[in-house]
Formats: sequence, C-alpha cells, structure tokens
Amino acid sequence: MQLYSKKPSEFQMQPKKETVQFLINFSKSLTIVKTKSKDFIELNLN
Amino acid sequence: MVQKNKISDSTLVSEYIQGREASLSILINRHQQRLFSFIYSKVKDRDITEDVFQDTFIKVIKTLKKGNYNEEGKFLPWVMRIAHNLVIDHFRKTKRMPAFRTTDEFDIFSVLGDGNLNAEKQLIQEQIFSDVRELVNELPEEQKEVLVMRMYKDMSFKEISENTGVSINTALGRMRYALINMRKLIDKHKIILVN
Repeated sequence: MQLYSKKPSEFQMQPKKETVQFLINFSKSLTIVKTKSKDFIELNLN
Repeated sequence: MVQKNKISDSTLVSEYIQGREASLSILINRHQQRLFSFIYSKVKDRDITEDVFQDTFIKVIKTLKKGNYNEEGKFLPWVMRIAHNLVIDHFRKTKRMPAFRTTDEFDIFSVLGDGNLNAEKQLIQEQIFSDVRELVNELPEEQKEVLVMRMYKDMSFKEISENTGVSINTALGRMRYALINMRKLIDKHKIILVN
C-alpha cells in the first residue's frame, strides 16, 4: 500500500511536449519563398 | 558508449534543408535538454525558458529554411548562440518595461534603479567579458599579445615595444589590426555586446 503519493519529480530540464510539437507543426506549415528581388516571404499555411 | 550509427547533426541539417521534416524532430530531441538547461541557468524561470527555447528554434527553422545557415561552425554552438542572444534580448526588454504590482500598493523601488549591478546586469556583463575573452583568443598571437598588454595590463606602447622587441609603430599597428579583426569577428559571429 502506498501511504504517500509519489513526490513529483524535480524540475526536468526539458521543454514541454506541447512546445516541441508546436515547433514541429510550425516547421511543417512554414514555407519560405524567395522573390526575384531576393527578399524572403514567409508563408505560414495552417 | 558511442553510438556508431548515430546520424551527425550536419547530415540532419542537410536533410532538413532538403525537406525532410523528421530530421528536425531528431535535432530538437537530441539537443533539447542541453539547450533548455542552458536557458534556464540564465533566466531562472520555467515559463520564460519555455518561451526563449521556442523562439530559439523558430529562428533556427526560419534560418535553415531560408538557406542562410552555413556550416562554418557546429549546429549546437550556433543554436546556443541564438539562445544566448535571445536571453540578452529578454533582459533588455524587462529592463525597459518594469513590472508593476497588481495590488493597490505602489512600490517605488520596483521602478527605481539603485545604481548597483543587479543580477541581470551582472549576468550580461559577465557574458560580455566572456565573449570578449573568446574574441581575443581568436586573434593572431602577435596582435593578441599587444592587445592584452595594452588593455588588460595597462602598459604604454613604449613599454609594449620594449617587452616585445618591436618598434612603437609596429606595436601601434598590431593594436589597430587587433581592433579591426575583433570588429570583424563580432560581425561574423553576430555577437551583441551591450552594457
């Protein structure tokens, strides 16, 4: 029988899963288009 | 134990640039702990760390997708440098925008500086000193020697000339080139030196 709930683990030095997932999704949705004048247009297609 | 089949960062970066999105996940997973700890060690706040971590990788993603990444350095030091600059940006912003309490009490000390170096300023200053030390170490030996004698040991050019066995004019020239080269290195590495 467990008398005490498990102590939450110490702060783990890594980002939340949601943050990593956000970055992966962000990358997938981001398209960079180079214009004739060599400028960049960022298209975020969600 | 060294993993023999581990794909190198530079291969993953190339694959990602060519459109293999899965390579990004591997890079993030591989370096997330180190990068996150690095940011946390500076800002000491989990939410801010999360924000800076996210902004760092957004910059990484945009730079890679624009084809602006060059393989001169290694991937992780490059990412750490971006994070380091974002941490400095964060401290600059918070310095400009003092936080007010939400209670009715107004604490004048929350908006007045005391003239001493607070923890953030001290951190920034330490980072500047560390950056400058690294820059000095990248200089050619004879320029480094003159710069160290002049700036750190406060020696006159006459003394430098006597100690190094070169003329005063040569010592002056080396000092001049040392400063020019340091400026070039600052531009090349996109280092921000603020006080």
